[in-house]
Amino acid sequence: MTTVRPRIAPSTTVAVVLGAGVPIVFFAVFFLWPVGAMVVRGFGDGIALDVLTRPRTVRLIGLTLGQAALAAIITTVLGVPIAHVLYRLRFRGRRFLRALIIVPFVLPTVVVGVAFRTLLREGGLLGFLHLDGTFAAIMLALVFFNIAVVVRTVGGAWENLDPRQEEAARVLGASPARVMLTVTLPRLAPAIIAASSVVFLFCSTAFGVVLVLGGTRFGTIETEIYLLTTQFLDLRAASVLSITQLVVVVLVLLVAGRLRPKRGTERGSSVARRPRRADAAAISITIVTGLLLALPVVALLARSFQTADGWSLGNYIALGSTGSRNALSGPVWEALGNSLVIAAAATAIALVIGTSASLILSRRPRSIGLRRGILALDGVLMLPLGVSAVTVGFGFLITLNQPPFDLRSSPILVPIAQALVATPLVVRTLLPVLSAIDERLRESAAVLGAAPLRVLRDVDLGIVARPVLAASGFAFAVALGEFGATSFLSRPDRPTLPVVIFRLIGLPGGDNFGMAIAASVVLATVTVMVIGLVERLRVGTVGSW
Amino acid sequence: MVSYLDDDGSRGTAVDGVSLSVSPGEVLGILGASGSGKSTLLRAIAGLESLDAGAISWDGADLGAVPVHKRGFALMFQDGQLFPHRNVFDNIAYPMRIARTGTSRVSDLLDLVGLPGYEKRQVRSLSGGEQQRVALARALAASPRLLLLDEPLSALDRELRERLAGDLREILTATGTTAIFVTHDQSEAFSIADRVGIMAAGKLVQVGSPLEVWRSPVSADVARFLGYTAVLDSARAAVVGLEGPVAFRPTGLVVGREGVPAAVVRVVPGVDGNRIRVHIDGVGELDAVGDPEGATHVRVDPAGIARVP
Repeated sequence: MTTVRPRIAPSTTVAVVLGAGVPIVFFAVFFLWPVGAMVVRGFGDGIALDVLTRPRTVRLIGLTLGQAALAAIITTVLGVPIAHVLYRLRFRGRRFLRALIIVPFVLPTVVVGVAFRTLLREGGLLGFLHLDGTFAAIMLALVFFNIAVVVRTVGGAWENLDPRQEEAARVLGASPARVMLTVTLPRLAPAIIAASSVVFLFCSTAFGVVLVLGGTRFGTIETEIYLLTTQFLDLRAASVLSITQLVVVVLVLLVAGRLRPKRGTERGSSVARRPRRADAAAISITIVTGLLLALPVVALLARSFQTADGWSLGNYIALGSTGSRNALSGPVWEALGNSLVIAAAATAIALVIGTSASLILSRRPRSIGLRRGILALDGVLMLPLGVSAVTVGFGFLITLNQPPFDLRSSPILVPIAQALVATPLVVRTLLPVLSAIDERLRESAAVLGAAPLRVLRDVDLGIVARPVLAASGFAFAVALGEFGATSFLSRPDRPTLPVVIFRLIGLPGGDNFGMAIAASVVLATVTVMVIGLVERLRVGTVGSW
Repeated sequence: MVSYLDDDGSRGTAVDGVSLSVSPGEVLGILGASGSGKSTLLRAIAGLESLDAGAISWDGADLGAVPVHKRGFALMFQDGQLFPHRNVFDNIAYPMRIARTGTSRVSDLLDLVGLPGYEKRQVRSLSGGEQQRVALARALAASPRLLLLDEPLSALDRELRERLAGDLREILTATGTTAIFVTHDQSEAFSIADRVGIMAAGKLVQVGSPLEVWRSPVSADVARFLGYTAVLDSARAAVVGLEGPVAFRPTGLVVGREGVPAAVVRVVPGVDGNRIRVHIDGVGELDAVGDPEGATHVRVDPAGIARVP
């Protein structure tokens, strides 16, 4: 008569097995193993201490952290007022602006670097500021990139904030400024801190931008790893720096994870109001920042039409050639084709991994042990965002060279590397949606006769169909512009577009620079188009940190 | 028949010592305050909660090893839990598609719940009452041996609740569905159920037809839960001429010029008549009804009292 049975919902068990197995295996083989192999070389013989105390290293670490911190502060200070304007005020074109702000974020790093070079060098629109090759240039580019993260994250949280607490404070006699300081900002603190941590993370691992804009004077840990690996062949030092970067990233992720807003928040009703006089400051900041964000793009576009013979489409036509002094092995259009195909493959991989990971990460099991395991998995899956892409790339080369994983010359290598970068973004898009599913919805399906796998299909996958579409668009755009690992792994005869652009910039003279600009414009246009389509699905992508 | 005995909840006895059975075609209402364990009971019957002890059996067969989706029951939640990414038709057809019985009955079910022509509507565009009706249609579409309803009307406003309660009873009796539902609203329980069970702190305290339970609440606490506003012990009951203990509703005392001497303390105007507070020497303050104009006495109305053991 007595029946005792542990009751884990069957769909949870299925989700755990499916969800955990695939991502864990993928990450173990293609991330932990290569990175581990690279990192291990940094141990022993006291080399770590030796490398870390070199003046150059110390300077670089300080530079990396300093620039990341500064960028995080600036983007936050600018981003919060902009978030207020775009997410709390109601005016025409608001939705368009919200979509527009994401453009800098998804532009390929190389393109951004090139755009800023164009803007700041002699003869450029802002050439009179003489900022080319300075620290300020790098700062500008980093802020340009990351403002979207702050605006979207903080804006998203602000939009759903119940305004009645502020209203209560106002009625009690607090001035608007006081309300903002003592009521609103504390409530937004988790979102603000999460956003700045992510910006800090992205900036401390910035590669393409710093490589293009930093010249010889400035670099980050990441560019140093690149130099050590490709030019000085000092793998051990590179490993030490990889470890250092990893430590920094893990710390930042831990802090961000602790302060991240609760998952699965309800979508509240938007309580936007018409702009008032008091909003003038925020609005002016928004306008000025908007103009500044537009400048590099405009400069890029303008420069692309300038050739040695004046204004023409010459640069675009030259994309059908292989560049002056045979810079490339094939016409640029071929590289675009390569990019699209490789990005598509990477997107497919990232979707499979990301979806199965999201399925398991969205479960809330009753046992504490399982819950902690899920949190740990979440952290691990975010690591690729912070680990040096160069480390990953080189790690691939030194580990994936024996059967059954001899992939060195396989065309699947680059898509896998890109998928590693794209997967965390897929997870961050799908996870909030999945977490918000009421468990009772699954229970209803089960009681109505659906077996556990069917519940998974009908409820979870049914609800997540549209976000998956958005996530795939996002992943595609990111894979398209990926530079760090791709620069390492792409085969000379099958380069991607970012690689080609970088090569063209590195070989000045003739039409090369013009071609690089034109190619950048093409790449940026494709990326923006994809993101535009994604935004039409109205699913939270950037900003679900 | 569903019978189950001596069931313990998992964390700190949510339900303990409940013994219950339902006959075919009967509607059983479980009435209890929040936290009394009634939802846990329902979920355990559906198979969503594990039993630490006890058994659930249907028609003599033990259901312990039968998984949730094979039990042939249906569960309706307080907020419907319709699939948001499907329209009304697909929601109702869902169990039919699983059982592969064909989807021709969907329109009939929509007629039955009072929503003809709603097939193509999106779930998001429905009001609360409409969502509950669709949820009911979906539950009935499963042709369940037993229909379980978890506070089906609690999320609706008062007027809607009353209307839907009547409809619900009609639909259940018309289709001959065996049903168990839980609620904290006594009028809901009394208007829908054939039999009512009262739960408190995880235990089943009283079972019987609505009239029986109303007339003879098994304890003072149950009486208070059922809306009796005061319980008088034997001594105080004797003052008004009754053998105690007795539970009183406001309608149990009528003010006027004859009966037991009393003083009107306060009159609170209400929608359905005045709520009058009277003071009776030797008893204390009680609620009463009637015309307070010049009233000096109260008399007892047998329809508004119940004897309590």
